[in-house]
Amino acid sequence: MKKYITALCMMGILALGTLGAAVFGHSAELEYTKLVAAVPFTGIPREDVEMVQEKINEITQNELGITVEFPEFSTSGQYFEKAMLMLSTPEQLDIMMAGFGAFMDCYVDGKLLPLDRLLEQYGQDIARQVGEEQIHSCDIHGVLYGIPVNGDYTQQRNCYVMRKDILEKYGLDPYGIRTMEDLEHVFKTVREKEPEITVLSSGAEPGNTLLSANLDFLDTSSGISLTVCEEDGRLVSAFESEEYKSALQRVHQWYLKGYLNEDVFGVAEDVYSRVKRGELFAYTERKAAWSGEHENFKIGDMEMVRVSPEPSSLMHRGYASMPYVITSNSASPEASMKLLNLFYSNPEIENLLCYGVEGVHYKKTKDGHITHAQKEREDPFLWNNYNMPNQYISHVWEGNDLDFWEQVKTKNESAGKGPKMGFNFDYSSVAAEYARVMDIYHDYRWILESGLDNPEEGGKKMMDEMKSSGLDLIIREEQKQFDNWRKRNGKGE
Amino acid sequence: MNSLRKKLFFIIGGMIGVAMLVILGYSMYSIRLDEKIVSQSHWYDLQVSMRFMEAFMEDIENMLLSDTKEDENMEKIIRGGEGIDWHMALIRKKREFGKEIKKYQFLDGMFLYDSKSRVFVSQVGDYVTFDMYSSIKENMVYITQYFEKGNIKNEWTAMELEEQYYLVRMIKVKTVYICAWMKPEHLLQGIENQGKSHTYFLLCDGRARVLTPLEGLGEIRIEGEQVFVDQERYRVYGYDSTRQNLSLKVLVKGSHRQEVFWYAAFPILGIVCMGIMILLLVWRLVRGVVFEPIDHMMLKKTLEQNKATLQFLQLQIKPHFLNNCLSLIRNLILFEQYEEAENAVLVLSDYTRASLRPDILVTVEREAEQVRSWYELQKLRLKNRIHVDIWLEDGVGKKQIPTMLLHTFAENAAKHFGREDGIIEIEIRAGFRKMDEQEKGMEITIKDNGAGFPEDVLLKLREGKEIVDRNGIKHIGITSIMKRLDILYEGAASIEICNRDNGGSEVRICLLSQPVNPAPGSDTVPAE
Repeated sequence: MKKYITALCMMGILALGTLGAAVFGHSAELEYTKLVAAVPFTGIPREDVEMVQEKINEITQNELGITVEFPEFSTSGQYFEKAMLMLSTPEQLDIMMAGFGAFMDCYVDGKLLPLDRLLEQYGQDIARQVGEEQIHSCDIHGVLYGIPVNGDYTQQRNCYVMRKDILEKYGLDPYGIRTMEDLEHVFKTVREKEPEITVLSSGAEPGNTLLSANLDFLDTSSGISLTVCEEDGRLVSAFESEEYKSALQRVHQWYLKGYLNEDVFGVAEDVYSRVKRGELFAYTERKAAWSGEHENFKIGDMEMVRVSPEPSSLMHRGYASMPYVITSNSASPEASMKLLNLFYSNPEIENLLCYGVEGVHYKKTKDGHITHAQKEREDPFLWNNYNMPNQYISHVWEGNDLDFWEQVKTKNESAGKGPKMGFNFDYSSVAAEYARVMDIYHDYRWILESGLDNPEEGGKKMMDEMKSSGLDLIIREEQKQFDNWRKRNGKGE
Repeated sequence: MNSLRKKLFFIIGGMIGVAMLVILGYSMYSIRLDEKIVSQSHWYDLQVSMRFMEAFMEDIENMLLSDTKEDENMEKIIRGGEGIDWHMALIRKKREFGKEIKKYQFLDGMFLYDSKSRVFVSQVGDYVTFDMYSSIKENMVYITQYFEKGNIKNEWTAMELEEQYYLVRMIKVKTVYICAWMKPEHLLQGIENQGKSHTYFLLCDGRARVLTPLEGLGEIRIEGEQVFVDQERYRVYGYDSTRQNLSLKVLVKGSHRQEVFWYAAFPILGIVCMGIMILLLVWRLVRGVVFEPIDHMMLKKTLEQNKATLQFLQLQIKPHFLNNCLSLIRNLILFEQYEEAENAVLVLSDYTRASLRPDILVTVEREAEQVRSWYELQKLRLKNRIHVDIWLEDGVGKKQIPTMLLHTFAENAAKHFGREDGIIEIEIRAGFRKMDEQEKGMEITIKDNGAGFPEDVLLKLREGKEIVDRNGIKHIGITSIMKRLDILYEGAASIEICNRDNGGSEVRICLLSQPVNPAPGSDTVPAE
């Protein structure tokens, strides 16, 4: 009997000890608030991102008592798909860069938290850094849901990247391409002289058609808009606009002339491989304006040049195209805003996000620029910096003016802005119709925007289908919201 | 004794041997049993995985069949005619394929090929590389021919394209081929433990071709139950699909023989160790409890025998001497030397009392005393014609020697003096002498000035034979001494008898200061 009592006592002590340890361990863990931030580090090796994460945590722990984790999918090519998947679960996701059309999708799904109060309380630095007008381009129905990144918003659309060797071979001057006629002349020459080579292909990103780089409302990086604004403030179907119709006609002509060789029904190979193998002469691109009007670079061994027949820099959908948001899966919206505030105001963090770790990924040059830290390895973060919150406070890469970001800021402010800039259409009330119409567009675009079919017949068919699926309803709803938005912002009338 | 030990060894060794055999047998049996269980569990695992794959493949099959039946897009595609409707049908079919691929985890790709318009519509999943896609696209015509020849039947078939295997399921609707395909490797990713602890799952087709090459392990040909991969032996378990033309195999590293070895090695080693320990233990126990007492008993028995012999030998001396003394005393009485006679009787009684003691061993002192008694007795007879000189080294007196050792030789010297006149001079010396490195020994010399030993006697003595004189009388004194020394010292004593150059003889006795076989009771000196 005595033995049993002793054993019981021992078990009791053990249990208490375990409990104590657990409680103690738990309390130790709670020292820092852990936040999860989906920042796109597309294609960057995980270990580099973890290095950056560690460095950032040193700062955030110090300043806010917060640690931040960049989830596994941050480096994935399917960043948005996976982020949206994560949002559909109760898993913690505090901060997210909701670009490429995800902003409105997230809003419609009810995944965004309103930020006005949080910004007022914890985001004073953001307000200073980003600016009132820019911030409120992320308003939906007058409520703030996102914070735009500070970066280059001007874009040079309708760019064509061409093989320099072929241009030189036939005496074609890339700098002489000023109009679409000049461009077509080049295509015609290449088609005639190099019949084996495909003349033109759509851009590097999968899911882009030839027109994606061409028309503002088709820019997949900020979401496709179904409407364009007429001068009188009336919204009309974008696909019935002259701009779209003539673009389709042009592409169809190119197709008939044999410039195009798209694997529309199969899987498109990325253009870089095709260029490297010498199978492709040119591809379309939409490029940040500061890249310069004519940029020369190499793909593999191929010398390339970027030309544009209409070198205007325009601001398209604008500041709301890639905002940082706080999601409804956030463990602490307050801490998230504090962290965002630090992201937007701390140059050290910004440089880590934009360029990686100093000495490992980049190094400073004597004149105040930065460049690759290692000869044998390029900074993997370099071409990803446009995703980062406040590029204005980051270093300037070698080869640019030291006041580069000042220039970008000025360019942003002076760039032409469309009438819909700053307006975000909440399609939740017509969600079913919107989805159907979008599906119809996504089916037709491959045929029409690749020039496979006569655009008059095809365009009419597409419009018929869209209209029978409720396009007019959507346009009416958008018009209503647009009018309200204009009233609220004192535009028009 | 030794045979007993041998027997014991044989019995215990035999027991160990039997135990080893039993363990080996049991190991073999349990391995066989284990093997059966393992093979059954593998078989079960494989069956479960296979059923899962079968169900999965059937789902895709059903999807493929139902999607093509009464499908608006299919009709438009078959109708052909290049218009927007036809294009849209193709693009919608492609989108449909994309949806199906997302829906079925291991479905890697779907394509449609219209042999009339030669249009190819395809969608692939994340697992597929562009190379896989393009090798399918480029081999489209070959694939359809392959199908037409009946190589691709109405079931999932393995097909090799540019050194890659694909599992394809194809159906044909009029001019249109529709196909769902997957990479066998991808299918295997659904199996847990793939590659863990040297266990590899393989998918083979009906012709035993391995469809899923192991990375870095080269080509594998499976024939029979064992296969060598990278010079390692693997066992193969397989499960053949009952519904698909496939079989799932698992390769497990190691062979039966190795396993038997490892399975049995430790128990057998244990048994051997234990056996040796038991043997040692038994050895010690037997020695303490059995052998030593037996040894002791045997020794005692021998000693008893020896003692009897010794006493017998001792007794043999006495009448001989007694006879001499008595004749001496008679002479004294005859010559009316009563005083001397009385004295002689006293000395004799002293002498006989001492020699009647049953002891086998006696101290040198006491023996010298005995010799002196004898000397007294002799002096009575021979007056001054005898002179005995005894010289003992310090400490030698306390050492033990066989009884009658000195006395026998002294008496012998006097008896065989050989001349009627002249003084009999006997010199007895006893001293220590180093026998060898450790043993401390004694040397006793008895010298006389008599006639010495006749040559034939010396020869006989050296050979240890009994001496018989001309009268046929046995002279047993010296041989008796020699026998006794033999028994007591087991050869560690020597008697050297020789004649001296200047007359007389010399007897040199070398012996250990302690007898090897102390006679029982020799250490007890009876009270006088």
